[in-house]
Amino acid sequence: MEHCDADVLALVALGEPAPAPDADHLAHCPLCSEELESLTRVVGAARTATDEDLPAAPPDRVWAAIAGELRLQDSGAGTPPPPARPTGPVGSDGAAAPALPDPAPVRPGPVNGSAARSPEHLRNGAPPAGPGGAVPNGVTPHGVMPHGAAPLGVRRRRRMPRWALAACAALLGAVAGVGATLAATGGETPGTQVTAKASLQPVAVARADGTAQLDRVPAGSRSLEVSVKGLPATSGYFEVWLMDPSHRKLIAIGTLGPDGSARLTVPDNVDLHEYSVVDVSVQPYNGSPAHSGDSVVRGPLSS
Amino acid sequence: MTWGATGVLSASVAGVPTLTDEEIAAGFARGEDSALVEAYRRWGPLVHTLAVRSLGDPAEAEDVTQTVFVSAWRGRGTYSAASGTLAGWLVGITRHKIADALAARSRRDRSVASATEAAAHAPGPVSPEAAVDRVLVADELTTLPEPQQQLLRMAFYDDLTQAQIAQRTGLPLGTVKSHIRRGLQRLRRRLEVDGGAL
Repeated sequence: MEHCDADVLALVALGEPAPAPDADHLAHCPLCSEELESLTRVVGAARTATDEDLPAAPPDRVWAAIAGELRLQDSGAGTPPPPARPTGPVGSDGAAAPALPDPAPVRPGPVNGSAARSPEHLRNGAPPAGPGGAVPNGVTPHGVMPHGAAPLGVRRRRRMPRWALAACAALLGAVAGVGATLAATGGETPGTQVTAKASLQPVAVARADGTAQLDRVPAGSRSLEVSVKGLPATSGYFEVWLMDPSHRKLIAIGTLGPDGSARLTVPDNVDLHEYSVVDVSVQPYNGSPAHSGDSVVRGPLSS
Repeated sequence: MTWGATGVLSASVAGVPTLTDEEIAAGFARGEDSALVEAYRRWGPLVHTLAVRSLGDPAEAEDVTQTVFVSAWRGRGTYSAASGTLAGWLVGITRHKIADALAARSRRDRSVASATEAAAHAPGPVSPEAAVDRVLVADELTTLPEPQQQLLRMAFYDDLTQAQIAQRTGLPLGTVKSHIRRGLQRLRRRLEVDGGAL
């Protein structure tokens, strides 16, 4: 027979049985076996990885030691030149994102919510403990989160390790916190009040991040101030969404301005207990009102 | 207020755009200090975590991280963008330094000849090779676009078959398959590009 289909090799690498003709072929074809072996290596690495394998910044003293050993002057190492924006589409290295012909997101739909509730809970979980935002001392004009420091959960359920449980607990706590705060500020509160915030972590663009802050003004209307940096270049626009934690129910609340920020009104009747996640997507100008499936940053609101 | 990302909040005010990897690499090769700063900011976490996960000793890992960036900066003349990414080059140097640290450790253990010392430094259950794979794959997984990332997480960690994933997400099976295939291939490419074989 012909060589195994790439989809079949992916299937087998993930542990599903190969259809009989493919299994026979695999037993005899060094080319397909080699291909399968390299995919199996990837699957094995992914399945054994924990959050501790996510790149985390070294302590500040490491940079201090490097700068000292290389005799870098603070002034000499000074301000990086004004950087150009990445020119590719979504995806910081432009590798896979542009190749996605069908970025159909998991849309709100008739699927029952509990089934896929777990998949992305942890990605919005608590940041790992430890030296998170260590950046070179004295030589960095802006404290951008280091690449890869995003506190995204790598593993879930079955083999859920302790940190994952902690992340779940933190998320539940955060959601409960929103509820408590909203309830507490529901009455006549004098003056604008910050009732919840979200740290927006990268989804598709590694170096994008941002913040969202929910304000309530005396009249009772709520507004969400969103600011994102490291946005990819796009011929489209950036839409801000409120999502439920399973990412199945979405409400579009507005678009970001050219500076990557916007103050958007949250409709009065939106229940932020339910729509507790802020998401920013890059949208093509194709007339479709649906989420493109290409999220740039996302984070849960918490008080 | 248990919100833990005040650093992000203050950092986001300026909305500073980001240099591309290639721009950092070019500046690095030209010997611009600012490019070293950017390279450290972008890949320091990767280098450091590779060292931590391979060596299991935080102090040694910090030493390795320092040595990698010092050596890379001093040897920047030998970096060529034509032969690979700066990240891959740094990972290659990291692997050498990890190997050096492990060799030094076993020399130390032999000379000390102390059973307890040797036990304390016993190599972990995994090879540095496997540690590098895991760090690179974990990192790359977090950069995959949606829904590719979510579908792969379901396949990796929920032990769902692709048919089950299609059922749960409501996506057509063919779409699930092609996302998972592309996602896996991108993870593999990361291992090939940045794996920096010894």
